[in-house]
Amino acid sequence: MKYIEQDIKMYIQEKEYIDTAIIPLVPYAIHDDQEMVLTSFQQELMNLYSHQLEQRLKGRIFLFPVYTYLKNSLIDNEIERINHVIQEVKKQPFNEVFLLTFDKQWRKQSSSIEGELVWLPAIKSGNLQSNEVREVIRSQIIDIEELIKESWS
Amino acid sequence: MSNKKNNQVSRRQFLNYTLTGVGGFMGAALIAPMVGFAVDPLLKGEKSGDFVYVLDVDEITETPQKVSFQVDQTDGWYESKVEKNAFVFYDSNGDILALSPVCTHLGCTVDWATEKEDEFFCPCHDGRYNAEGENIAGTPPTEPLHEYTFKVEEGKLYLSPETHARGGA
Ligand code: FES
Repeated sequence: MKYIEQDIKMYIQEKEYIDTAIIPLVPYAIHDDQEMVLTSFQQELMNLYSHQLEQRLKGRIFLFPVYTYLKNSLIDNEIERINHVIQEVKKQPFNEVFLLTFDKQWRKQSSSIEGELVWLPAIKSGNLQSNEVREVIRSQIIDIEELIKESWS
Repeated sequence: MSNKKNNQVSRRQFLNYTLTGVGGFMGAALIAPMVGFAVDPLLKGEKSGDFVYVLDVDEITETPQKVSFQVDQTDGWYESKVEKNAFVFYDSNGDILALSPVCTHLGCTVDWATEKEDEFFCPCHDGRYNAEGENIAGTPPTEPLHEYTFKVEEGKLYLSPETHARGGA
């Protein structure tokens, strides 16, 4: 399910079945040109990952809107805000909250985050249409899928 | 000084212009969806004619094979390429079946022979379907897996991107 009206209506009726939340953590940069290139590419990549996942596990996971923040802001300052989001999500209720990110900074803080942090190594840049890149992405998505399914058993 | 002022659009005038502009735009927005509804079924009717080649008939077996193909999909305003999957096989009557992997419960993707050797399985709520794609009673799905319309030409199998529910099997 996604955060669109049609899916929300379905979610409201079928809450008992949809118990796993996905929140992508996506930084963006303004301060530095090079960082802008990097983060924008990762943003596209995350879009691809999260939508593929959503499509495969639509009936049980809910893809929330992306959590964004400035790349050069201190991650420590984000902890409180993201935890607040997670708390709200859990109240709905959701049993599992997965946070997907390419941003290494979160890893140092993973113990203070109230959800399950899934850090993914990002491919540097490249043509998302090319076959090799697609293969890498496909296998990574299968890994995340396995991780999520494990939490169900 | 006063001359110059005459040529300038005052703040109030500017606001008036823009607001009328927005109003006009909103009027258009009200009409647009109606046109959309009226036109849409026609567009759809045309699209369903786009059959896509997926594999040769002599490659089809009694064991479901997963095939994928790309179709153009118009989603609201923009068009995109989406990947579709199908399970293709001969059913017990020897007829070709091309089933959609989308679970009829809440839409997860089912897989063949992951949990039981000759069943389709949905990982989300343990939905199960038999070898012909019929839902197994007591599991969440309420109807069989949907089916693609297909055609065979010169030994090649083509699927239509649209799926439909199956009449009682
Ligand atoms: S979505 Fe397949 S069993 Fe619920």
